[in-house]
Amino acid sequence: MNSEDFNREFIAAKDSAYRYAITLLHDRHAAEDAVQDLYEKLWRRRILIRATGFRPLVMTSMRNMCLDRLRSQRRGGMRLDIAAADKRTSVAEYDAVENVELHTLVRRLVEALPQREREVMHLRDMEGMDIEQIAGITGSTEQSVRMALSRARCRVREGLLNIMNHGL
Amino acid sequence: MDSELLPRLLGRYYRGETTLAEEEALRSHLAQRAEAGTADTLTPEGRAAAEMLRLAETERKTKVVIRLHEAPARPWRIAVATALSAAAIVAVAVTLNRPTVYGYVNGRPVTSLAEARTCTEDLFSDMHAGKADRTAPLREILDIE
Repeated sequence: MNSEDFNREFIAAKDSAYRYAITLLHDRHAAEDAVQDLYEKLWRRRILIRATGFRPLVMTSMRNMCLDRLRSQRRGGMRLDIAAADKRTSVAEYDAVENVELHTLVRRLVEALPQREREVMHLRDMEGMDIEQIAGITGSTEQSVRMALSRARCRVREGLLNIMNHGL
Repeated sequence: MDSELLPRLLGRYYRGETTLAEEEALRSHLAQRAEAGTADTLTPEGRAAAEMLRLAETERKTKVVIRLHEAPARPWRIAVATALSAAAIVAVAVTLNRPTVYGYVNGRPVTSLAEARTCTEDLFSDMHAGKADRTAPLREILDIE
């Protein structure tokens, strides 16, 4: 990989890393900070990482950094935005926002998924990664990734069907 | 996409079994139906998948701007590194240039190979010629010839 290729891959992976950080941290500003910090570190070590696949490295590093930040927030006793993800969004809540677009509702359903399912769904649907890569990044097996992906899609589908049945 | 393939593909999509190419084909087909105004004819599962794939498509456009800064030069680090390197070179040079001590004569180190050889030859020739019988005191004590 020459210097130009490296720079192209380096820049191309930043948006993926940012979207992944948003999914993990549930906070756009915190995600921006995390990407900025990660890229500062990687930029300083760019000579060492030229030979390896860059995107999986960025995504794995981004995941580790975000999980570290979530853990330190938890230790510091701060309220976590991520906690909101475990809360199941009720149909009644959606009834109150009838004017909101279906698109926004799908996003809210995805955000309400458990962290692991949300993460797998993000890497697959938003980043277009294959199952093997996702298993590598999340440190799990391909079978487990498929199950999490299936559960995530089915949960979102059930949520949407509920909304549709309520006349939205 | 025929009417039989779509439900089959949707079933596989919800089971997490579709390939990336199949998901792209599904997304493209559902998007075309939405554009053509025939999305209402889709099953609820089809509409749900269409919305999920549309969200993914939109989210993919999210961008971030980052600012990268070169690490500032730190002169003191260069100075420390230079000093340590110089000290290491001096230590190696001193170690390599230290004369070899072949032995000691009356407490004085013998560093010349020629002198060491001469001293050794003198010592062994004395013993061999019996000029100085160094074993005499021992033989006297042990009372042997």
